[in-house]
Amino acid sequence: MLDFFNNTQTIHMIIIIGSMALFFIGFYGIATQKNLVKVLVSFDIMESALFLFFIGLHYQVGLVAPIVDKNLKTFTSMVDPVPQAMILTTIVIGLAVLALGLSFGIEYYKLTGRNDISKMNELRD
Amino acid sequence: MSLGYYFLLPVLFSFLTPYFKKLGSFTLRGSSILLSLVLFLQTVAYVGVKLPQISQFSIKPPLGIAFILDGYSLLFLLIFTFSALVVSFYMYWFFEENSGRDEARFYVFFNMLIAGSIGMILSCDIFNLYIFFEITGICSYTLSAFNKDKLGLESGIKYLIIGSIASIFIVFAIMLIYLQIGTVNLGLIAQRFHLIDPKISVLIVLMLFIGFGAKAELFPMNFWAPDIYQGSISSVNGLFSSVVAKAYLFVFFHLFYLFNLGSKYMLFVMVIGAITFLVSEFTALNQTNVKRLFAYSTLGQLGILFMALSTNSSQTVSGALFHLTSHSISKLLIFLALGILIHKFKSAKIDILGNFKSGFLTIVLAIGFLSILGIPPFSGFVGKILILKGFALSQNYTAIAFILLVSIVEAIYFFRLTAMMLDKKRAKVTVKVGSVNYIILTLLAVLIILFGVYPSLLTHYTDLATNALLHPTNYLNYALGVGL
Repeated sequence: MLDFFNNTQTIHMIIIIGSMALFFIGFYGIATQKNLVKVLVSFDIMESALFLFFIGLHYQVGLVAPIVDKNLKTFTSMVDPVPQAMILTTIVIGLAVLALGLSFGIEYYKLTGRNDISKMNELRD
Repeated sequence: MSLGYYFLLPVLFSFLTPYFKKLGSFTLRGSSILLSLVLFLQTVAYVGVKLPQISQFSIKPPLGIAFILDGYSLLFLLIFTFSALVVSFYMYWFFEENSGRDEARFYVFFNMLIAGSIGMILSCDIFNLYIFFEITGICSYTLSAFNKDKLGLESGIKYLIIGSIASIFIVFAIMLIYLQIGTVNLGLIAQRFHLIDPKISVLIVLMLFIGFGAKAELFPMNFWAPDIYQGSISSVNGLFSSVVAKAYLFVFFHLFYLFNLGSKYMLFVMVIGAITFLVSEFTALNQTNVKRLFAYSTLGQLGILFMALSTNSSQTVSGALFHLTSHSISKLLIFLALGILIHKFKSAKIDILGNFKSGFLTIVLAIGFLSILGIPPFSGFVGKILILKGFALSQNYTAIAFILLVSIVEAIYFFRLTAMMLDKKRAKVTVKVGSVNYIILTLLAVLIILFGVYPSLLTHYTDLATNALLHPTNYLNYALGVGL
């Protein structure tokens, strides 16, 4: 039974289904939620889904993380390090945008007492 | 000088801003002017040098990362650094008049915005391009919320949400490209793009289109742009119109021609551009806020540029690049001049702004309006006529008729504005223009007339840019590290 899960294709399938589900949870949040904080959290969920998808698809059974230590004997026994470096950078960027969005939200709440994005419609002709 | 300094210098100045602030506001404002001046002079020094130029960091491409400057990016680099120089002079006046504003916050993000936009046009690696895309994005969100009032924060929040959606699409596209091809180097991607399964390649193109199109203010995704223009200060509007939107447009067409998507998607982009032009010009007709009006006008001009740049014919593309340069200069002139009026009247309503009395401002604003409208002898006329000539050579008479007909709509509101300024009965409030503003506005107006009377001053560079854009063989060789 456990051998079934110890198979690259099965793991990839689980990761694709799981990250797609997570992606649509985030999408649902953006489409339905009106609270600015919840919308920003939904963006973060969507981004996390992408990260899991990308990192997961580069994992293969039997390969180790690309970190130099005693488990790493040869370069062929580790997974591709480029996606991991890219995702690490993207996580940092996502965090920065989230923090900026929250700080805008706090300032806006202090001024108006509202955090409902459907009522942010004062910019009009 | 290595091309890396185009990114490193603005970042350095950005991080040094707190020290400049301690040394006094003159140093702070002066540092930004100095930085833009250095970048502009450095770019002028590249004119006439053999292109493309490459600067590689540590490892040779395609494995390492590099900056490449070719004819196409040189034209944009000239526009960006020139606009930055003009805006930094203008901000000297702005902070002199509005003392007590948070100057340091502006300059940190202004310098980083320049770094991000320049990085986007020089980078030859799609992941670095994404990072610069985000740097530009974050700085523009913060700059649009520079007025920390209700409207400013609202525009910042809106821009941030749209930007996050765009960046999710772009990250997804980059991941799919890496999963399919296993590289992030633009040269290798361009070489192997046709090997991707057609279904996935359509998905990638669609995602890149949504991501960059949303930021470059293309039709279905541009409903946010006027809101953001309305909420920000007018010098930031000038930057958005002449630098930020143009940087996203640069990337859009750079990838379009590098990945050789012209044959499949040309009609699609042209139709989207045409719809953008049509819808924006009609919406602009009944605007009462001057910032929203010129936001819609910017969208309309970007629509023409999208129509003309996607044609793959060298005459039209060259004309479009001429029009792009002329539009950047004219919009910068208009937004900066309007900024002076908005500062005086504390309002952006057209009815109130029409009451100003200043011969100088009337003349420069009229030059800007007529240039965008395409009236001789201003540079906008040459740009439009070159685009129309290109369409005529490729026998696309529908596009010519369309552009001319929609331009009539454009003419209605521009002539209405010009007539309002010239109306002697309205002029009541005398507006003083600072000496710095006299110099920069005159410079911009002179450039508009100069390019209108002697187009050959500019056509040489637009032809170089067109050649580099449509035939990127040299660029690809450098990006692949051949012969380095």
